[in-house]
Amino acid sequence: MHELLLFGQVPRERHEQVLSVLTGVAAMPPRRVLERHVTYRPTADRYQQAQTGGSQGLQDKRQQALLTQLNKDLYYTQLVQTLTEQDFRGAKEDAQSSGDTNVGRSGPDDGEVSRVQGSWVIQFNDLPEPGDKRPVTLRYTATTDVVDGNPHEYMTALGYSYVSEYILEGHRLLHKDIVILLHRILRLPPGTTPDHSPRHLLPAFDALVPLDPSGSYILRACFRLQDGTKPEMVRKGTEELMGLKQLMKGVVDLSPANRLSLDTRVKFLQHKVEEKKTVQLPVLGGI
Amino acid sequence: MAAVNQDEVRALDRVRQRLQTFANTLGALRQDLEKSDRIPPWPILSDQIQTATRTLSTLQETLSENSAFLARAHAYPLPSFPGRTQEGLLQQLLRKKLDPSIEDAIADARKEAARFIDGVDGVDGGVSGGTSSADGNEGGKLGEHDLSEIWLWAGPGESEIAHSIFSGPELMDEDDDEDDSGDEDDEVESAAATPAGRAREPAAGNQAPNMELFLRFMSTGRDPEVIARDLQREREVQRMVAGKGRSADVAGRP
Repeated sequence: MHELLLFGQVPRERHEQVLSVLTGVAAMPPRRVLERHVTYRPTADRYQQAQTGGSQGLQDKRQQALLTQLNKDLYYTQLVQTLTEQDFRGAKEDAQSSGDTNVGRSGPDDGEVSRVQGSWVIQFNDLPEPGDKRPVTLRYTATTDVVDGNPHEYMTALGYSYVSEYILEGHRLLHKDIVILLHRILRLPPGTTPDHSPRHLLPAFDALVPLDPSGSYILRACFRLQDGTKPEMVRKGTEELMGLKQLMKGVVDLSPANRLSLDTRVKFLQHKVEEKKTVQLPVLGGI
Repeated sequence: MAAVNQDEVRALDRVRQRLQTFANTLGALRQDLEKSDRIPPWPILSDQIQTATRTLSTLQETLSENSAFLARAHAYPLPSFPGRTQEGLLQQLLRKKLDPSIEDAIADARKEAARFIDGVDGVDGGVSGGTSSADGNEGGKLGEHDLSEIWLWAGPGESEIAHSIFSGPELMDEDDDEDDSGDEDDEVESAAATPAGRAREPAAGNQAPNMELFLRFMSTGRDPEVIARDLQREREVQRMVAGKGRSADVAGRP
């Protein structure tokens, strides 16, 4: 699945107005969206075990290439959970049982997991395709539904570690084939997030802190494509998005995002430096 | 009638220059608003409005400095004036009343003002004198004193609101390294010529800087403060690169 994207920013003061405009444009009432996004990062030492052979590993060049490949392109991945407002009521209980909020924990009071009931999906977004001339952002994206089981344990077993989580709050509308999402990012209150795992219970909704202190909203227009390699479909999507951009002119300024700001690649800086060293040393010895 | 002396000619010329600058500033602002594809970013608009206000106040200074002379001055065409070919200009110069459209605009404004400001007569377009305005609130209308109070409050109040709306995340950016100098830097930046601001905008990928921060946070989930610091560093590097490019250009073009 590919998606074509345009982004715009709406100041808090104009949020209501823009939402009304969008309602008119889309000719449908906006659907409320509440999502919990948990970001995971591949652990740095994921494939280190295979490398501990030191310079011996270099003998097999194919293996070396494979390892480089494996370590080069690693991406942040997210778990996304659909929420309802009721999921936020657990603030009081949470204050009492703060500290032990591990999703993966099993025990007699494990019934708490069911308190936040929304279904999870694993969402992967690739780095947008390069191309300065394209007036929209094109990127590959994949979502996988989690049907059963504990998603956090699954991610941990895959070699990912928990980074942070945030709540996405907003409204979704449909205009032609474009999914419009007017949303803002809310963070969990500082000091209450555990370091290594997502929270078990969510705090009260009012306790969430907007990422943007001025409270602005982000407008995201998204055209989804089954196959982003077909030029005619990309063109159609681009045209539709450009039509929306034209329509929204003067209301919200929609523009493609800076490619690197949607970069989901993980940068193992230290790791790479070490790798280079081990490659260079034997070469020097050979001379 | 005394002939016009050197000083007075100079005064006229100064007024002309100021008027010209003001008209240019307004023209540029209007063109930006009308012609550009999207509304210009706030910092640029704010700069332009500031420039316009500045030129307007210098114009007013010049007018009030020479008010005595300007009030007395009248245009008399010399016999050598090419009255036939330049009839339009001549008419314009000799016309004592304002343009009808401007007169209408002034009358409208007065009518509006008369509803809540004391001492303004909306009917005949004249100010009825300062007698009643001194003591203020007659019939719930605002006196001169109230007005000046409102302006004293509105200026700082408005700029505070604008500051909190538009520079929230930017302030967050600067909290880390430059606590005290941050605000001054801002002022210097906005007071420095607009081209600098213009050059910086496209570098951020046509997005407001905080948008960039949000997207990065959504992509990687990293600590926003760290991202903000990274962004700032990148921007500095970009600025340095741009600066070098420019100086290289200048050096290469003897």
